[in-house]
Amino acid sequence: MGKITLLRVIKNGWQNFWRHVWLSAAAIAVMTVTLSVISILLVLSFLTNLSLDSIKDKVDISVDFELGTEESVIRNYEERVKQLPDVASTRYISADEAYLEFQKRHKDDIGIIEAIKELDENPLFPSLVIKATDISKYESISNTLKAEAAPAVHEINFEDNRRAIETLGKLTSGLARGGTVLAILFALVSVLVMYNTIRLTIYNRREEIEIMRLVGATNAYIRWPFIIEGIIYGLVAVLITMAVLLPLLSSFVPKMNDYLGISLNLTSVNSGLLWQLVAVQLFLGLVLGVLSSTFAVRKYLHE
Amino acid sequence: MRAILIEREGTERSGVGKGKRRPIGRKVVPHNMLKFHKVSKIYPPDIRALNEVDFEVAPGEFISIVGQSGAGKSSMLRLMTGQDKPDEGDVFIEKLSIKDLTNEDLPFLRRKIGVVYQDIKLLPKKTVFENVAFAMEVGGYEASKIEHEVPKILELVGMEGRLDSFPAELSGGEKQRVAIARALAHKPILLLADEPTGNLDSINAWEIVQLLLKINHYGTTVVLATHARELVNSIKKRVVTLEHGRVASDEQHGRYRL
Repeated sequence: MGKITLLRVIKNGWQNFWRHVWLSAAAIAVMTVTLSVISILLVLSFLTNLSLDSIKDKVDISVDFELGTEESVIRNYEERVKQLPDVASTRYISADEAYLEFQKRHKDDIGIIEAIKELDENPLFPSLVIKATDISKYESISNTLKAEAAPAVHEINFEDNRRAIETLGKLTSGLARGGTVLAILFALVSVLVMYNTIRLTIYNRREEIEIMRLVGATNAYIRWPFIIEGIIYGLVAVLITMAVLLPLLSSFVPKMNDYLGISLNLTSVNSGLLWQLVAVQLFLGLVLGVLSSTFAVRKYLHE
Repeated sequence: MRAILIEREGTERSGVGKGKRRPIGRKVVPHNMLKFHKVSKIYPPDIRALNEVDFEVAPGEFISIVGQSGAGKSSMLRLMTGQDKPDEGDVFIEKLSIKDLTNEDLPFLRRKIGVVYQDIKLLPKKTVFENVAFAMEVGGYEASKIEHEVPKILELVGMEGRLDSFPAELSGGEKQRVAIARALAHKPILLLADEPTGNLDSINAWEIVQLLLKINHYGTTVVLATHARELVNSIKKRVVTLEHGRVASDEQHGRYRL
């Protein structure tokens, strides 16, 4: 396509967009709904993933040592733990650190703080916190540790929350699977509605297409303005969707963050996820606009 | 086939570019502008809309094709524009065989001929200027040329005052004038008019025919399909009468005889 032709089809597409402003409005409205549905589903999946990660992140094995155990003993133990397969990291927490953390955690609870101050010595155990490479590995690590009789080990804490973690794992993976199916279904329905809307707007203009053919326009010359219109639909729909979505997100996401104990960032310009969302919308908006127009107009081009 | 068409487009356009265009109708080339060679058009199951139609049109002629509704006028025009293909025989525009045209060739055929329809077929969302300009745009004319030529063509049909009006704001006669301007925009070698006065009152109809005669006078071959008796009789040019898909008569200074 030559430069003159390119400019002309862009001009024609732009002009048609405005001169069929109500058809354009209808197409944009439906596309906005499509993009909103898909965006909301995406945000929900961000939330589930993040909260699942944060729950998984809270799981660890804590090995408590007897009061007054030398650090070197614990460090030795730590070296051996690190040799085990599937251990991602270990962290040594001395009795003093445990004390500070305890104070920090209960800083609002004067009763507890006072009570612990009454004691002559630090009642907290020094400990080693172990993280596994994957949530399913904790059990075997914990079993290995329990099986060996190490000196000075007071207690290995894992059993307590194992059941809870397993249930939660099943629940979230079930939710994620169901959610994905539902999301795909929703997205498909919206895409169909959207394609049909564009088809109807072009059906409305089939006579125009026929006239263009009769005065000697090539199929490409007829098709391109429609594609340009499709691109404009997509861009405008993305703008509207973001304009509606951003205020909603900025009130909804912080609440969910508090509730789920996560920090999803979707409202500031340096949020990667926000830009991912915009990118998905742009991609969908443009692809939907262009493909719908192309397919819908084909029928009248007798190709 | 396509290569030939493009080549012709090219040479014609360069001719246009040099300003005054030699009327193709006066070319000393010994071939016909339009030729029907034993053409039959059969619509399923067995309606013979055209039955072995045979006639030729020389460059620069003005020919009226008359006949009652259903006599085959429309079928004939649809063959000339490539909207239909002949079932038997062939139609030639200059040396171009309609039978051999592919879908890709059609746009190029339609830039060689201009067509005026009874139902006018202007683009409703484009202004008068844009409607005429569109026919030049599709042919790849430069913007400066379009800006320059369109007002002149609209002046020829007497619509120079309505450049920015939309079709819905025009009367039937005015719309048909714009349609004629559009048909002329790309300097066709052949102008086909399919019942152009069908929806017009007699004064407007007469004016449209005068316009077609003027265009013919400047050198463009004109084919007028109509069943308007008085108009045909006032033209005093060649008349081909169709009856039941056959050529019933073909007279140089004909009258409407049905």
